[in-house]
Amino acid sequence: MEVTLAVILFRAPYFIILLFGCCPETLPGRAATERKRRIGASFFRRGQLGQQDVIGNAPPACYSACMKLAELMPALHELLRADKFRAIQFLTAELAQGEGGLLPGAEYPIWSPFEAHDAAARLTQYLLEQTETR
Amino acid sequence: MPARFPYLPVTSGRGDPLLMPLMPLELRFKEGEPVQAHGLLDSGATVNVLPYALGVRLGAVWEAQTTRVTLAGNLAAQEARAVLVHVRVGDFGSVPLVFARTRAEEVPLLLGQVNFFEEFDVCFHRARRQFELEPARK
Repeated sequence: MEVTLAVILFRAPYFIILLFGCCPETLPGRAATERKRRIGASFFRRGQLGQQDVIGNAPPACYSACMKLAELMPALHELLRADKFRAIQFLTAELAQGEGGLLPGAEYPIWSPFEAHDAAARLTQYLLEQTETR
Repeated sequence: MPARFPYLPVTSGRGDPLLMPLMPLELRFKEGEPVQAHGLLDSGATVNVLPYALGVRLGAVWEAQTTRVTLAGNLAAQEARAVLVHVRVGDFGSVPLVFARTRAEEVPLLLGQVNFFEEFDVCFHRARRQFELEPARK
């Protein structure tokens, strides 16, 4: 019991850092803003985000899991038209993967012979020949 | 008076049941025995498609079918040949339908524009899970 309590007290600062690190919105005012700016910059430095990974012209902000949709909407609204399409593609791929549906890069057969006009002409001719000879 | 058919459930690759316009019909090749099957009403298909195995059940000899047909999409990779089959739907009279018989096995029996939709008028009521069909008034 005493050992467990000692471990918790010893680890407490790490838990606090981990909590605020994951969710900078929980930091008050200017501290949170500064924290978000630094995290965004560090992503670029460490090569975790390339220019292609960032949607929009604004510097990369850290959108954490605790960010609400209502907070994202103004940012999405400000996106360039092309970036809005990229955002849609990204979300569509995310949803497809999450639901176990279509996977990117996978092949799915479509048996329906769409636009098989040569085949249609050949079969029509064959039908005429066969029905005339009867 | 059109015949009315229900959409039938099929199992998708994900295991979910899907409702599809599958129509029960009777096929006969020349003077052979009639074969019961379900055909998928595929208004996006340019032609009717007969899977190879169903052709065997009908008694159609592949080598005797000499008119070659080139299909599109996934079926383009498989050889296909023309075959004439008489089809009876419900209480309607027998109608000659021309099929592209493919070597592919997985494909369903497809009823497409040439010439199923030339022979029958079809009305889809997907929300009501049924479709109606009657011989085309030419």
